[in-house]
This record gives sequence, structure tokens and C-alpha cells, in this order.
Amino acid sequence: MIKKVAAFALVLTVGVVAAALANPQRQALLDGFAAQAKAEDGNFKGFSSERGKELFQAKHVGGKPETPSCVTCHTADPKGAGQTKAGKEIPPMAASRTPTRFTDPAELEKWFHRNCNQVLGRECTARERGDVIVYLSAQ
Amino acid sequence: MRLVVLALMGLLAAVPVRADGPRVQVIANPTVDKECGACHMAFQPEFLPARSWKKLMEPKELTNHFGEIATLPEASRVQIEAYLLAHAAGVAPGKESGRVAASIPEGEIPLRITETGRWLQKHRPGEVNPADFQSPRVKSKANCQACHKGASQGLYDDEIREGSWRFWR
Repeated sequence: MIKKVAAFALVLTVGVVAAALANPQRQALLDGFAAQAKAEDGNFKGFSSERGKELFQAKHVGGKPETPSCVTCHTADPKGAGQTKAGKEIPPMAASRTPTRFTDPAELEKWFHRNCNQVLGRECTARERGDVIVYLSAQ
Repeated sequence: MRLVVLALMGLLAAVPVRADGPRVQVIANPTVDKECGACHMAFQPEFLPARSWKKLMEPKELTNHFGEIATLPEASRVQIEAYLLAHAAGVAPGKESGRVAASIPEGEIPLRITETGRWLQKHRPGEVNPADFQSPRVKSKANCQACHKGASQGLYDDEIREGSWRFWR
């Protein structure tokens, strides 16, 4: 009985540690966005997965008419593959399916710049970026 | 007589798939391959002349790349532009390169491969049913690989047609 409990505890610990270690790059990126968000707004209290989900799923009006929402190309279920206008498959946004998501700062900058302008008609703020990353990392 | 007929049928069955289509240089630069292949197949540079690639790669043009924002960091943009220009139609070695270049009137700057004389000639209505490009399987003229399975390897000598007898594909 003790052996089983100990084994379970070990697996759990390893799991938690692995999860924490798995994304140091992502965490570093989030920390960077948090610092920027705080600089942009002194009242910033932390990222919100709820806000991120709302931003990602909502229909926006400021951008190009063919892409009113992030889900237009990425589809409503982050675990599913998306599709570009040209018909090419986009790997799922969910970090659980595509572990490299949100780990490369240059890639993030490139895609946030393109897609926020495409969908929202403007740049995404640091808070919005962090919110979306937190939402999609948990999927 | 029956044997002759059978032998002829055997011969016909053994006729290989037509191998008369173009073969072009594969994209050898990983940045070009990655960036140009992010949203569609990375089209090989020898399908357009240098003047077309130059226009397409202008920062202003990239902000409206056929309705999409395809802005690139300047270092990548410069690198990709140089590669495309160096491997464009009329510049890259090989027959196809020359054929594409010759098919475009001087002074014309097509931005779409599907607007070049060469593409139009190869995919003319007598050869390809225009409706095929709207089929659920193909969806768009930009989807080369739907019919040319070897497209990303620069091989365009095998086509799967809509309603093709090669049902196992």
C-alpha cells in the first residue's frame, strides 16, 4: 500500500517538475510580456486565460473582412488543425498538441504583428499577447 | 488471335504514367522554404521572372500579399529576395526556366504564377477542366500538390486528374 502511494507521489512529482521545466522559454516570454504589460498599465495584475479565450474566439471588426477572428484560420478548437486561405494545414495552436508553440520570440513577434493587424486592424498589446499565450498553453 | 489481343492488353497495362512534365530546381534555402511555405506550398522561384519576385518582395507589397499580411523582418526579406532573384525564370539553369521566361511578354510583371503564359498553356481548358480548380479536393489554383504530388520536390510530371482512373491515390 505504502509502495503504491510512494510510486504515485513520485510520478506526480516528476510530472509537475517536468511540466515546469518543459517550457522555460515560454515562461521567459511570458515574464517579458508581463513586464511590458505592467509598464503599459500600472494596474496590470496578471494574465487571464478567460480574456485570452475571449480575444481569440471573438469576431472583431477592425481588421480585414475575410478574417474577422483568429478562429477563422485557426478554427474554434485549439486542439484541431487550422487551415490557411490557400488551403495549407496549420498545426494546432494548443501547446499540448504542438509543444513548440510560444517558445520562439522572433516567431511570436512575426505572427502577432501579422495576425493582430489582419484580424484586429492593430497591434496586440503585451497584455493581450500574454492572455492568448496563457489560454492556448493550457489547451 | 486471342493471344495477340491479350499480349497487346498486357502491353497497354504496362504503359507508365506520362512523364513529360517540367522538373524544376528545389528550394535549397531553409529560410525561403520556411517563410514562403508558411501559408501555401513554397513555389519554386523559376516559375516567375526576377522582376515579378522583386515586386512581390517589396515591403509595401508584403503588407498586402494577395489580401494577407506577409510582413517579414528586414534581414529575412533581403535574404529571401536575393535567393528568388538568383533562381528566377530566365536566370536558373534548365529548360523550364527558359520556357517560363519566354512565355511572359517583356515589360509584363505577373504577380501570379497562374497568370504566366507557360502556366496558362499547360493548364488550358483543353488540358484541364477549369472547374477542377474549385473542386473540394483541389480548392485553388495555388494548390499545386493536389494534382502534382511531387511539386514540393520540383517534380511536375505526374498529375492526378479529377475523376482519374488512378483511384488508389
